[in-house]
Amino acid sequence: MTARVGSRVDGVEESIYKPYNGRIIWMREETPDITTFRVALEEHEVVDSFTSFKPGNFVLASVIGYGEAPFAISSPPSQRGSIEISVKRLGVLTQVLHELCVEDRIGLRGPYGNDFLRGEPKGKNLLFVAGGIGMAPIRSLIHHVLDDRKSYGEITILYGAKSIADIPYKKEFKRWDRMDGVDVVLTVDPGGETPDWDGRIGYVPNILTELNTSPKNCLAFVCGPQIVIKLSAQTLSNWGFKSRDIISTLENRMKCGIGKCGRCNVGHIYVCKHGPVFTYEEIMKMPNSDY
Amino acid sequence: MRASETNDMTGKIRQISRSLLEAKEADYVIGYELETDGSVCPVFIDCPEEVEKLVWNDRCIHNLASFLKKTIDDGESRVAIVSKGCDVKSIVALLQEGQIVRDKIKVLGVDCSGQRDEKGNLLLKCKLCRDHRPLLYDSLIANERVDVREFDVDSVDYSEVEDVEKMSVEERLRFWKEEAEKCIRCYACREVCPLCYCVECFTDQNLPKYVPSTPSIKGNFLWLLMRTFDLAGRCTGCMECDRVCPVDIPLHLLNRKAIKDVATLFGYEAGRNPSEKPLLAVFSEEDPDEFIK
Amino acid sequence: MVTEKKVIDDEGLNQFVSALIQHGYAVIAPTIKADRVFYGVVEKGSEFVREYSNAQNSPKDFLFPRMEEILRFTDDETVVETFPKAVKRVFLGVRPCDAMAIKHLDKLFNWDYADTHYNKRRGDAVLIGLACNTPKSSCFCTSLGGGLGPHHKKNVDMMLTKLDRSSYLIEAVSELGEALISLLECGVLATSSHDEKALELRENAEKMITKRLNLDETFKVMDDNFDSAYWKTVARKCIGCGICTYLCPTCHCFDIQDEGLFRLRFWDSCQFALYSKHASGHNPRDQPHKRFRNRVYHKFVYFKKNLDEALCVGCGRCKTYCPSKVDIFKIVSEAEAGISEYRSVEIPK
Repeated sequence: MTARVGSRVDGVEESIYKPYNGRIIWMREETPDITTFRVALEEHEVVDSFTSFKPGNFVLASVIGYGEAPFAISSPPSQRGSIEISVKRLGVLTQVLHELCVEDRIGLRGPYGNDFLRGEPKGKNLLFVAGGIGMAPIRSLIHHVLDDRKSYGEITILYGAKSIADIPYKKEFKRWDRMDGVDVVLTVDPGGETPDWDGRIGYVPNILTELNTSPKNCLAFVCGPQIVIKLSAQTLSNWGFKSRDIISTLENRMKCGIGKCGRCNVGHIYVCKHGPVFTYEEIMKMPNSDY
Repeated sequence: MRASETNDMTGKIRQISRSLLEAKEADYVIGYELETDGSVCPVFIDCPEEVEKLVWNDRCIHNLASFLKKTIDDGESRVAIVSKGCDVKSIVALLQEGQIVRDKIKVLGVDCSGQRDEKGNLLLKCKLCRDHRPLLYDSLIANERVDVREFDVDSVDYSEVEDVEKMSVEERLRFWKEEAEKCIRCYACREVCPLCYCVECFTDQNLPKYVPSTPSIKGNFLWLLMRTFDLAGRCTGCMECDRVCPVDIPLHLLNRKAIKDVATLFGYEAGRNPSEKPLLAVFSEEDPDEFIK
Repeated sequence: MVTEKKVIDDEGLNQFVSALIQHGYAVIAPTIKADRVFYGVVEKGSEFVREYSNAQNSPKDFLFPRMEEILRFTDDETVVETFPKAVKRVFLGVRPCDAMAIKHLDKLFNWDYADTHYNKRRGDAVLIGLACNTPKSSCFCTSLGGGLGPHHKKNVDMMLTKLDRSSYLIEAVSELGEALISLLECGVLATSSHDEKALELRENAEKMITKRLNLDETFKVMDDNFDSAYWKTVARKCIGCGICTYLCPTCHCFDIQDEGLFRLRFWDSCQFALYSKHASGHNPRDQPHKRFRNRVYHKFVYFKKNLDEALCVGCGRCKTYCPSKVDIFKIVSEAEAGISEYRSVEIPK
């Protein structure tokens, strides 16, 4: 799926706002308010470059009559024929999405945005830090990296949620932990544990400080609520990570996704167009009283 | 207004503002300043040196009370505000609804014999005005030339409203449809109104979304009518909404219709007495109820 | 390219309008509507008002309408685009500031993704400019770069300059203009004295614009002082409505919402709280001064960084129709002085 740019190679004009017709082919309730949808495009849609997206990209998903909203693609490019989005129920559209079933239609527009792996990540150790629904784009990246396991070094995944019930992708975390050279650390907020919980208890930025990951030849990807990003980035900087080796995503309210409706800007940077992936070095240059 | 009057009153306003700021009894003063094209616009004065910016003349149209909405968010600032009789009614309405604290504002009440537009014509709200002297103030900037007698309540002129009432239903629908089509949903009417202070306006509500955000005829109609109803019993008729509308919708007709109905049905007028409860916030057994069958 | 110049009178201009209409063009020109000057479709030349400073609205209303359907969903749930019908249009009497504004919108709506809805309306729309002989005191077009001034011809297809009470110099500027000037059946060829008169009018008009701004210095001062308390104090009399954004010929922000089976695109304003509010409830620009600052920066810093232009043409509409007469020129031209006054004061979060 490639983003529409206004006119096609065959000279036909098209609207950059026109979604592709997609159908839900599978879904999984990850937590009480997060559901993952696997969406395949209808046959008559242009599918030759369907998997040309990169981890970090997002799509604007819509339901007729309820509008559109941006969602990070949470599946890897190697997953042919479909993409996945993990949706947290928060407002009108997400509520409607949660009421859909397999076979129902979803419109998809995109993929838009930049990607996590600009620059040269191969050969490096990777640290993934995520909280809440921030895990969605990170999951795409982790799968993508594991598709080419030998190109990367040690992998550490730290994920935290409010409670055990709020942890998405539970089976995948278990599977990753069993892999060689992959270490998964799960944590829940204090009070979110049950007596049989064998993971950590504490907020993500605090648990991070216990990991003592070496910055040597390492890239860190941090995704989640703003406070998690901020505190984690500070810890990583204290350990010696360069701010351009700390990579995160920003989110903002979006409508067009392509830099025209004006609203997702942080300073002159449009999150939809110049992001959503930014290095911490770039984030520090942004006006922080506007975000 | 003669130059001598404006100079006198300007001088008094500056003097009072200066003393309030010097004595730190006010954090800032909201008043009027001259604009380059001869008109007047609001100004915020933070220190005694700046009081020279303040003026008073017959172009001081704005209802500065709408800036008191900002003190609601703050809660801590003490504000001095230059207010005409009509503006003070808005202040009273805000006090009635518990939106501002009386001892956090210092009202510089100004006697007013009417304001004029850029062509020199007396404004409609001034032709209808009975409050040449504000009914509430902390300091009074008096003007002996202004007639400050109590006016006869029954002499209120609703002729513009009655002209619309005389139209047939079809004519009225056509009239208001034409007006509603012009609306661009800039919400200037809402933002300039001292009494539109809802943290979330009904048009912005999403769950459910019951008023379209789009400037469609349906959305615009709902917007205009629902705002009128939300203001019924509270609107003091300052007509700022009408002044600011960039597409000239005669909003004053809607709000004055509500004012007329409220006066006729309930004998009530908003913004007269700070200790009075707003009309639609109370129930009395004598309230008309012929509509209950 | 031969730039033919002619001189016509009011009647000649009326005939030209009729000829355009006969050739299938919709002619949009400033007309009087309830005492105000608005751009609207004219049926005959006499409706085209020629003595005015600027219309309250701008050609933006016709290229980027306040509400338009962009998609519709059919019964079998397929998506169909709704493109505007192809209409041949002439915008007559466009001031150079408004013509420059159209250029800026062209850039934005084609920035990496071509907005076909806008492009179809923009299409072959012909712009016939009307030079400004008496700029208003609120005008400051000459400071906005690109050679913009009251007689600037670069962004129009044809230019009209009113030489005296009833004669107009009319010239083709682009090929499109050349093609249309042949529709003029009357008029005399312009002579050098006409050209001299036009030049004199232009110089007078430029002198009348006393408001001057150094864009580059302004850009630098603003870029370095985003957190200054200055931005909070100048925003205090802004009431947070959308008049400036909606009447501005370069403001382009919009919302997209579904209503039933239609997806609509309509104007939105960065001055509204809802504009940037997240579904989670977090709002990065939760206070009025942050939204106000964002607008000023978009105009003089952000658009420059992204598309190399100031997103303002100095038309003065924002100030003229603002309920509080907020003066963006004053705010940015006094920024350097104002900011140093507030240097020790940081805006509290």
